[in-house]
Amino acid sequence: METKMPIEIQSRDSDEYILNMGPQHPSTHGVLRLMLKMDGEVVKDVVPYLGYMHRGMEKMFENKKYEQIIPYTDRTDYLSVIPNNWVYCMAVEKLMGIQVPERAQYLRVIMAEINRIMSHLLWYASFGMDVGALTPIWYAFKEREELMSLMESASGARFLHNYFRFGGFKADIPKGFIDGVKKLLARIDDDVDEYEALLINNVILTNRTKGVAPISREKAIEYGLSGPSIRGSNTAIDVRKDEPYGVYPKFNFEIPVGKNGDTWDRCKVRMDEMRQSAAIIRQAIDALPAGDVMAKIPKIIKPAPGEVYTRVEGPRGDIGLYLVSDGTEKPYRIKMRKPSFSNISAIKELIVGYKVADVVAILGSLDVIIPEIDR
Amino acid sequence: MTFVELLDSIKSKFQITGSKEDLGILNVEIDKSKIRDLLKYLKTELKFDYMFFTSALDWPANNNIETIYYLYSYETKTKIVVRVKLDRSKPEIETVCDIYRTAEWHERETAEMFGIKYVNHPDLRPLLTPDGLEGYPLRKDFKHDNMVKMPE
Amino acid sequence: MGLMNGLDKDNIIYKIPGGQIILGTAEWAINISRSNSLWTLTFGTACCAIEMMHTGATKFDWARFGLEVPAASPRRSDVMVIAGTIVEKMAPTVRMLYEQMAEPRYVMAMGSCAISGGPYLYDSYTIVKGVDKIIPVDIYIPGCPPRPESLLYGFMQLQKKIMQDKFLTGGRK
Repeated sequence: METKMPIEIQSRDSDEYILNMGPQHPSTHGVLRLMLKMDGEVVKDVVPYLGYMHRGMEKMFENKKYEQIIPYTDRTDYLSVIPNNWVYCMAVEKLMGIQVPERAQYLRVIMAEINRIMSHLLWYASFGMDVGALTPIWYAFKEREELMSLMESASGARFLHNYFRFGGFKADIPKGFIDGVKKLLARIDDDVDEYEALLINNVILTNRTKGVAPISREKAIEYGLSGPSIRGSNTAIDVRKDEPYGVYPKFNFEIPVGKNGDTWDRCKVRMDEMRQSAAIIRQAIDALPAGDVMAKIPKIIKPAPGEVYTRVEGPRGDIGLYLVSDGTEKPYRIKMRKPSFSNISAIKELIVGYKVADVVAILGSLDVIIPEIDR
Repeated sequence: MTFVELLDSIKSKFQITGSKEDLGILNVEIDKSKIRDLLKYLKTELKFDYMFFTSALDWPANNNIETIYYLYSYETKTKIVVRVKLDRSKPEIETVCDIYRTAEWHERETAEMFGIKYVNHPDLRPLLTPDGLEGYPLRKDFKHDNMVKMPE
Repeated sequence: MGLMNGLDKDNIIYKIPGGQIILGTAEWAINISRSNSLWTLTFGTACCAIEMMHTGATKFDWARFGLEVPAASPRRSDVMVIAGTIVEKMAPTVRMLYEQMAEPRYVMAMGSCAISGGPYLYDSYTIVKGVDKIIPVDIYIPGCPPRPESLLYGFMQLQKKIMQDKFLTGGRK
């Protein structure tokens, strides 16, 4: 089937040309292909091509049992593993009417916030690498390695944890876990200050990113942005405050926002979020109750017929899962609403008019993961 | 707003074909010719400014494909689902991507997965599937040589 | 130290006034310098790419084995590490990149998805069931995702394979 190319050069005498940022590129965070129409160094038009990682997951889920789907939910977005597991388990638990015990709820919050810190550290490393700073990688990965050892002691895997189950956890946390978390909390605030001074407050980065690609609040809501990409535009929107789930209402934390909505504000918001996550973990560790970690669930998982939509705040934005069940062991339809899908649909609005060196910085500040767009 | 107020406010302006309440969320069913007016009314008058997603469900037993629009209001913190039933042999509906910008890519994906034609959409090229794929993947009667069923 | 470990019975050490000399075949000298300075073309698409980044970063440093430069362009790299799932739309790109590499070139398939399709083997309509249906593969590293130690072991096996390369007297190209 012949499809017309959507980008054209107007006339032969102009200086315009078409540049292909192909699917294999060190800075496009996966397999994203962008066709840029340029005039010298300024970008005039952009058309993204997706589908280079489309594995057909939603069709695959219609032939698998409910408990066989949990490992696949971590492989859609491999950096926010815990929120993806949580949104799926929450959807099935709502349809079946399962109540998760109190200790498991607190542990779920602790794991989710540790995962948020790990994801933002990887964003920090790869954003630095994109704009040309090669030092932040070593700092961020050293921190990440220690967090990964901590999560490995609890769940068994370094980073595709496959940890949550319907009704809680299979086993309680091991002996040294709480001490490991306390050691992390003792140094995280100083470390985040150091990382911020190294890259975000660096004069080269502020010159490259302040005033670049601002987006207003109304436009951001129209395009469906969520997460730090919209919080940079002075909009305090967070699923943990709008529609609280788990035991989040018991914790005391703020939502960091930026002022102008440009690239620098989106970066600063992520560093502040790491500090707020540390505050939540501190409160959760102090209030952790004793008890069992798994509810009583039936042997065969067969939810009642119906539909449900659950939302969770991931590191990239608002993750949603729409589940339609017809009363059998396999789901009828699962639709995953991922934040990067809507975040990257605003790319034409953000990139046009800036130089090609800004394209990489803007894509990095949106923090997209391509396999979660293509599923 | 409670459900009763919401439902009455919609019923006073439009003729709906059905409504139900499901796990705390109001579902409203409407005919496909009035979908644009209803969504414009919901966005401007009732302040539903955010669309989570739009997608479809395939019901071969009833011989129809059902499109759903999931909307949310940041001011009143309520959700609403709008459902439209389409004929399975020739599904067609008007686009809403000028009312909600985020629907542009969601409609593109639904069009290639279910075969729904969105009238007046600016760009309906396939987004995710490879070139030359025949059939519509998320329909229940889709068959492909590469797709081997997992043994029990 | 790596140099002395690579000596086998064909190489002879002579002591001469002022030091010592090593007498060996030209193949041995070229192979040992090739295997200890591999430049990788990192073709990371999915989750295995993160483990590959961890192998290159602080705790499991791959620069100690000679892989100092992650050259992102195929024109100047020796090893193509395929880390992640390959789907039908991406397959022509993989073939094109492989053909752009200059010989001698090697390919490593990292992770279950690159070896045989992985967890997407059943019920997926776009998956390529193993990257060796497109390009010839030298080393397979199992795991989902493999630990960084496995990836380093894979590189050490590749170094051993390169040491046995007899390109001057026939054999591999």
